Amino acid sequence: MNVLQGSMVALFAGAATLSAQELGDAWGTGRAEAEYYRLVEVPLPRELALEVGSFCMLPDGRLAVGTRRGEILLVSGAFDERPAPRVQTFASGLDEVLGLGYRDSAFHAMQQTELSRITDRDGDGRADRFENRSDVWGFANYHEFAWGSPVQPDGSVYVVLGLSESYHYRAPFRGWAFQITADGRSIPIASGIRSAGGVAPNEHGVMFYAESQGPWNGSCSLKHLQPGSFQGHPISFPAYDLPLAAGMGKKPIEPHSQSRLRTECERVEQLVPYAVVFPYRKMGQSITTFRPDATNGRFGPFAGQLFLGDYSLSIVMRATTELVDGVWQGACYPFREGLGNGILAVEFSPQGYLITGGTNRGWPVRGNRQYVLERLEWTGRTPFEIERIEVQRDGFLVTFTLPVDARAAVVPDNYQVSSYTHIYQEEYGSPEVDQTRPRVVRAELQPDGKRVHLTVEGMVLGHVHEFDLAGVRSAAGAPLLHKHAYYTLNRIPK
Amino acid sequence: MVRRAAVLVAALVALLLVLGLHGCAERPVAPAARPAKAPIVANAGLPPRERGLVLLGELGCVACHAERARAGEARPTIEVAPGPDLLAVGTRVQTDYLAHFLADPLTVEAGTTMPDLLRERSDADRAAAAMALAHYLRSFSAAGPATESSDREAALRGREVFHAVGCVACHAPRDEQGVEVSLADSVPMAPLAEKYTLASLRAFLQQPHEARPAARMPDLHLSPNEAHEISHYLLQKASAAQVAAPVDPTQVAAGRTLFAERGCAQCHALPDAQRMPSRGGKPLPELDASRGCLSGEVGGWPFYALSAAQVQDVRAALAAQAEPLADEALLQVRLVARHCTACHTRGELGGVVPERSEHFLSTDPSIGLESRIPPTLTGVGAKLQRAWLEDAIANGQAARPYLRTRMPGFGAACAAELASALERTDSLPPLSIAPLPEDEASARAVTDLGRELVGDKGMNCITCHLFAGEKVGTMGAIDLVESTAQRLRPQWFAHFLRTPFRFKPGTLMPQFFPDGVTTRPELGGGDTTKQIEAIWHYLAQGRNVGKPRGMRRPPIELEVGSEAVLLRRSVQNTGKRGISVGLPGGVNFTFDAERLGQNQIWWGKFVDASPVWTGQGSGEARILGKERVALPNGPCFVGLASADAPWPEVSRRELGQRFLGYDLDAQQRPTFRYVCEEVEIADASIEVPVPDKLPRLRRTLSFTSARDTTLSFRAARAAEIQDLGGGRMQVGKQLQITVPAGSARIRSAGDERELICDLAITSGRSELVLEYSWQEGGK
Repeated sequence: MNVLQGSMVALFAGAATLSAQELGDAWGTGRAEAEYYRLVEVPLPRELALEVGSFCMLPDGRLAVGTRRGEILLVSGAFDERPAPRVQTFASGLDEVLGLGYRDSAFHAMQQTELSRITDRDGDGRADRFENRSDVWGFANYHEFAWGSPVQPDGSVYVVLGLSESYHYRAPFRGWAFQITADGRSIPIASGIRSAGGVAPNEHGVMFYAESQGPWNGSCSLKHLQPGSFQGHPISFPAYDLPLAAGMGKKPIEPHSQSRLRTECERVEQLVPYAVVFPYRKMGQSITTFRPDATNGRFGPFAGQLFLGDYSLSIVMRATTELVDGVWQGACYPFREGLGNGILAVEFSPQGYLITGGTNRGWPVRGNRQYVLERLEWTGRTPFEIERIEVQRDGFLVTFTLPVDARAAVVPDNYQVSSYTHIYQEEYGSPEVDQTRPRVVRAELQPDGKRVHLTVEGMVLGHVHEFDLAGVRSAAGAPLLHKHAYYTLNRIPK
Repeated sequence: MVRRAAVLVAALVALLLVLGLHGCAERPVAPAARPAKAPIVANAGLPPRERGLVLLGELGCVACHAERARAGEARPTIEVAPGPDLLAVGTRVQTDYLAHFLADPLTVEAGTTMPDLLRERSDADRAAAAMALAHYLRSFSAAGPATESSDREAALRGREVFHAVGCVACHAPRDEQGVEVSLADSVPMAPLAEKYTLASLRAFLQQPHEARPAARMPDLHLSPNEAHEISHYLLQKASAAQVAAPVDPTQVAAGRTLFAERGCAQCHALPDAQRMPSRGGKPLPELDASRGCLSGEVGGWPFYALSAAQVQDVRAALAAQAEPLADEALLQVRLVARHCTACHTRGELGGVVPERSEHFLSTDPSIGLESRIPPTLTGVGAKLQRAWLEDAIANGQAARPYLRTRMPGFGAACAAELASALERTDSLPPLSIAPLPEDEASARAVTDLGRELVGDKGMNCITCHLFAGEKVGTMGAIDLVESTAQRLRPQWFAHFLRTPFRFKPGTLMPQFFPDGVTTRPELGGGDTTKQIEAIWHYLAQGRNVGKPRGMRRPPIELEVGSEAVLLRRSVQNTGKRGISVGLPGGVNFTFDAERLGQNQIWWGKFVDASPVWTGQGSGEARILGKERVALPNGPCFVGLASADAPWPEVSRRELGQRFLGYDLDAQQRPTFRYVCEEVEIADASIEVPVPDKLPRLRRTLSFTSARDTTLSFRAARAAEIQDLGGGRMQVGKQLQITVPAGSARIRSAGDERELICDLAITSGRSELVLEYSWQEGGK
């Protein structure tokens, strides 16, 4: 206990002298966002202390909710036009359900200490069989958050295991990710995890996880869970000596602290760079579970993109990823702020709602609601937004959600790009460093009126490229709802 | 049955009354003599000139008569309030109603601010013109208003919502029969049942600013359910949805021409309506205040049916156009025009009128009048931080969860101007709060002092106020943490703490610094300024703030009823994989899924989950029952090499033992399943009631094996174990374990004794049943 309290003090050292600005400034776009994406509270039964940890949609249209208090709740009516949900307790007594999947009449619930298969054999609507699918890892401390993916097409579930107290390796396989196969094998697939916030396939079906800023992580990021990879935090290396890890090959060489991730990727063979960096405070402080929008446009103009929440700032963001030269990279974009509490989970309903939930205890959270379930609805109006940014051989291709003002669109100065990276180090987090000003030398509007090809001089590999497009206007003269986007450049296509 | 019939009759009578009255109003009258009620524009409490300014804005006068800016004054005095959106009016409003309304607006919606633009025409002309306009407006929509079936339950709930959330701050409340209670200055409603469908009224209520961009009807941010309920309440007597006549192109063309000719576009922008600059009247300063709209005559101008008093007010405003207008006076014009003063006072102006007071309710009346009446706007510009104030006006951000009446949103467009006017107008005498010292130790000393003062050994602020959402006492007054750092100006805070009654006469907040002297002289050197600064800096830490003394974490007791309750989480005396089970009747145990066995049993209450369910969940569930006995650590089942071999103290993983999970029976009692030495073990414990005594725990261990084998089970380890005969074993002072006679042996293990059952497991299924009981007071 003493050790643990010590670490909490370390985590929030200096907090006492900081003002309320600890959580940073809001984007300030909440009012404008509401015109396009309405935030609707899904009313809960008065007595329900709902602490959402995970969601999954059931084939019958009900929403299943895994909670931090260890329940699996089945909610009907959350997606009615006027939500008046009925909540049924399917299971309780579990340990922080931070991952929930459903397949063949069985739930796959990720608890802190095991992945469980949970079924209702007598069909009375309540769980009666709880099977341990995997518990091959060890446990030392409450602060070993463990996340599980949805059930994959091959029946596998991917799990990521946070470090002990988010800093230490005090039990086997802390800081590792596993694939738990349909036939019950537990296969280690990655080391070097710090403290994850979610694990799921990206919009291309490739397994990713959400990582928090801290030691060896300058800022939050989405990372590719490439089999055999090392994700950057070397304290998890002792598990390479365990027999179960034999398939992971030899232990990577130690990365150097006070370096850059790109530099160390050259040295450390297994090290995989972050795919999408979420610059600290600008784009969240504790990013969590992500889901691709598979609702075919029912949720507006961002079909196919990733949506994810942030625990500290009570916001929802977007992200897009692309595979360039065998390495994943991509961009993140502001989307919606002002949610009720710290978002731990998001899920799309087939109707095109994005349901969000979380808690606000334990760490500072901007949203002050203790128990709340909310959904975001597209109002049917298309906001003028940066739809996505993709890398090009000589720059970037920016796609907007609406046709742009042709005159403003071709002025290179309307596209301000700055670049920076973070220190890859053992210490907590990192400031933005190595700033440069890549220059947009040409902006060409594509025939569709919505895409602009930017020719950029001075793109920097390994850097976040921050875009400020305040000067761009829609054809109707509107400014961008959010003028910023952040592209993490690992590779430039040949 | 009789009562229901009576209610039905009463409802019918009410319905007939309403219909009868309505019928009266529709009786045709000659144009000149046509009665018309003056527009209702609340402006009580203002001097004549300001009343006139409110009228000039709210009646849309400046849409035709431009205001000329006063010297040195960049901003207009009179706001142009755009009329309702007409592009989507066809999907919002029934077409027949549109025609009906446009033919005679002042009668159909008595008190409306919409002028009659067809006043001088004959009845037949008016009807034809209104029909053409209705067709024209309808032509912008593909379909008429959507319909839905009525929902009686929703209507019942809607009555409560309508009267509680704030609708009746401006509109008339309704009696039991749903009939409007006549109250002065009530903003009139159209005959809703004629105008809307259930679906279109609901849509309007949810986003009033879409239909009415002037935002005089603020957004109460109704949930979809609340909007549904209010619309069903207000439209209980809705006629069946009308099937509107198809849009007639000839009528549309005629309507388009009329729309332009009559100057409708001055207030209602439509994409193809030509604004007619020629139609725009003379600018305000050039008006002859005895003619046109102000003459009371019917002519080629909009007819308003102004009362004599209203005419005088408008004339007063026109006459004083060139004179300077104080910031405060202009601010009051704005506050009145937007109905802010229906709920809030500003100095002597406004506030909840006695006739409406009963509808201002609280969820926590213990806080006094402040718990239900919205706060004053006097000095608010010097109280609230600019961003917070703007957000409150624009979006209805509010800090008082106990007020049932909601702070509505008035939209971003007016928020910036109003907030800046309030900021400019309000000020406080200088009294500053020194910034937090730079160095960490000194800063810490300041916030620590604040923490002490806020806590129960200081000024005990937490006994009345919420603290970061938590309540200590019975009162939940405004949240100290949520309402300070981002919301208040430090200067106001410094004044307020010294003299709260000056800011809130009648507040329950005591004076902690009478005559500027602290009531806690023993803290922080007894320096008032230092103490107030310390409280500010402590609370200004916002959500990261450490809790003050006196905040207790309320326990979360998991109560066991007729079904078992499980908690899978760290629990006292057990590691992270404890699965605690509370059985009905008051016997509880923990199964350790890491060790694979029970490691403790206790009688009485189950557990307090607050250590694992609050904060980060860093604690262990706390056992609430008192009579706890520990069972031995280490694996439960092993294959011993010999009877004397020491019990292996290794982890079950080293022994290859596996946890399979558990099943629940109909009472939710678990049967744990695990594998030891290739024997699958099902481990089920149930309660066995004993009259007048604590229940016993009966544990059935079932074995399934593919082959014959031996397995030893260590049932207990204690300083003292005694065989009482017949399989009864006394373990320590208070636990008695009963095993099948002759199945267990007692052996020494160092200084202690072990109770061991050597089991000959046969292939197939076999079983061992044990009972655990608690001996009152020991043997």
